[in-house]
Amino acid sequence: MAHFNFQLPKELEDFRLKVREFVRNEILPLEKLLEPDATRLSKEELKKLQAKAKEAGLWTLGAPKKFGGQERSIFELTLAAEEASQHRLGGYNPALNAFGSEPPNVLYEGTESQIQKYVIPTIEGRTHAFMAITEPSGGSDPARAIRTKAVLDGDSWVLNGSKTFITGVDRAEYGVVFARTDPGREGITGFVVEKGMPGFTWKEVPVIRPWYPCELTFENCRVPLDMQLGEKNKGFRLINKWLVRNRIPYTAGCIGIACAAMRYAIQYAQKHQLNGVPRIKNQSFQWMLGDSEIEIRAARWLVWEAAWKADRKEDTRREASIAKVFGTETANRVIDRCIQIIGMEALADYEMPLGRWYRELRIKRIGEGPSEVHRMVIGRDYLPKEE
Amino acid sequence: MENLILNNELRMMRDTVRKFVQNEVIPIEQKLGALAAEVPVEYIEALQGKAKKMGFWQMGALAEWGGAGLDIFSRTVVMGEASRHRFGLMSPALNAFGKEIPSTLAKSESPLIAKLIKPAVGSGEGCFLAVDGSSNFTAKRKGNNGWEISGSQRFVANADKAAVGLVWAKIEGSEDTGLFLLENSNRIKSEPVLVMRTIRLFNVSLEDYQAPVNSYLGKGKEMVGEILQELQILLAAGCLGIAQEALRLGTEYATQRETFGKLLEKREAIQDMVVDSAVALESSRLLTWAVAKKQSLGEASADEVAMAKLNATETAFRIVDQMIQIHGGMGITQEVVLERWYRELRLTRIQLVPSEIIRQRLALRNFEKFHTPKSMQ
Repeated sequence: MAHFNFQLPKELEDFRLKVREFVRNEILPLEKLLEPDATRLSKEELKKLQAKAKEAGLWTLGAPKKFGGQERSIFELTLAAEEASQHRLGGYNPALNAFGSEPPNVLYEGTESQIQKYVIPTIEGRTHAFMAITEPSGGSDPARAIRTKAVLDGDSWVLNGSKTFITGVDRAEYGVVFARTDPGREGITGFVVEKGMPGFTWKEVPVIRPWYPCELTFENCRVPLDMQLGEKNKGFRLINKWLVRNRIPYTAGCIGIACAAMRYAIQYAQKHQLNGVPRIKNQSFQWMLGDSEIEIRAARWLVWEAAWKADRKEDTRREASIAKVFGTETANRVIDRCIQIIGMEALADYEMPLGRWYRELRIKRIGEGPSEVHRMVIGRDYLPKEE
Repeated sequence: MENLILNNELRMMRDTVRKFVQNEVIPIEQKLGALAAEVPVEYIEALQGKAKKMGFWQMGALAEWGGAGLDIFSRTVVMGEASRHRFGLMSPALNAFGKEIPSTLAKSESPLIAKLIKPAVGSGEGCFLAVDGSSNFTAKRKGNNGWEISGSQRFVANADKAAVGLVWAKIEGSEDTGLFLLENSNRIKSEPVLVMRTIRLFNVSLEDYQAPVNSYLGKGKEMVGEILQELQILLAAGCLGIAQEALRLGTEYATQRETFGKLLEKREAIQDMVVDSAVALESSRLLTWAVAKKQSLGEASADEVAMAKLNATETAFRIVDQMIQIHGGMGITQEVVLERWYRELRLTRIQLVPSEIIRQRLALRNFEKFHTPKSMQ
């Protein structure tokens, strides 16, 4: 048993603290200057911040070393994600993008020219990408829902169809789009598209969170053959590669926000009364905090287990689903309780970020696969094998 | 169930308000589009003109003030219908019937009521209430010259437009508190506080505000208690109207949306969400109606009213949450109204009397029954 304990090894703990300190020392002061529903820093501010992150050794944590990244394990990325989300904009813009952004991981399998044209500039922070899977017909079931068509015509593919709820299109220069090249699950192919290509338009979809996702429309959009990603009809595997890798840090980010919300609630409850009694002494509130503490810890262990398994290259679909459902639902319960403990002040946009987190966390129970689909993924394993 | 409880007159009123919302209110919202932040005043005035012709003006205000003078049960039924649209929780029927004025004010003998309330009823701009939680103001009696009131309160609704305001103040040099009726003017400072992105509440503050002697309406605690009872019932009804509309949207969506080759309505877990929501809604409405009926007979206790408010706000919230889940990604778009209600309803569990205070009070009463009376100890 000696090799197993509940303590992070020193280098991981140090890494975690480094991210935490960066957020507290660099991000929180910057955010005080932003509007409550701001979605990002100005380009100049971001440049300065990214320079600090580079100096601190926190640049493109996940990207492969051969492309200039740090190639951190999923476990390490999970630790970073829990810390990087702990600020007002952290739900959808962790650490305000100080650590740079990666291209969709599916591009690492691209051709040499795709690597040079898209992967390297993205890792260097000169360009940004989006990833487009979901369509108006659905997002959880890409094998059936993808209806955007790609038809080969001479030396290019012609794309027709639409995508929706795609994040980051507004700040990106290019993206990866999955389209149908044949019927069925084995009939999906990935393509790189660039903004500004004739036949490709996009517009924002106003939603509950401040950073609006986008709807993309392809009308006879010609994509050169060399922008096809991987083999024809092998897109479904790429989609899964992307989804599974993202799901674990995605959940860790939600847990981070829950922790930050707890700090607000505890601090407020220590200072303010309800009915003449300090809120912190109210047993209903104590239990809310207690339940939140329990659930946050449990969620963190589930996320860590999934990350650990993923790093061991084991099949983590189940663990990722378990962690995702419990982690995102926990974060929603925690934010709800913290708001209740603080009262109306928690919802005042210029006072606290809890109202914003409440809105953003509500999406997390739907984004990256709704809870229902993950429950189905977990539950269907109990079906007799022959079905 | 509804028809069993409502008499003919109320059924007709319910149906009329329902039609009014469907035929007059919703088309305006559709025309303005889902992203409209507010409704232009000319639309509201046109609606108010139509409502007045139907005799639907200021439902709770006494007839002698120029209102419809309905009892609280009838208003509850009306509110359950008037709230069933996009802006319905914050502006039922887009304020076609005028903003509410607490009918409790009729109990005050102050001559200021006649002077200020009648024009307020006429304007339809209602009354702001700085009466939450505890008295945050202090009133100093200046002999026959009136009162000097100071203090501030956060998160007051409608403080910018209301014709009049009610302020709950401690009376200096006394253990008592009083409720004061003030004419809304620029002597009352109201700074906007943005809440949950779209809701504008106000920080109301008074600094040595000079009020006439008769602005004192009566004892604070009692009057505020009664006003809060009235408002809690109406809030409960409004929340349930929203929940009913949300349930309709979610149920309809489940009959159209297919995932993994099957309609959502065929999925047992989705069926559970819809059915549990319907059961909870029906139960909560019956509780709210029963309490409203008792209140209209002058028999409802503060606890009973609070129980209905607690149940309705929490039920409505859960239902909207579930219906968002059924909608998936569409549920969080502004195009579908659920996201708005999810934000707005979050306030209702804190507003007027927060859930925790209600639970504490109800606990007290429940345990009290088992305590040995002092005389027997």
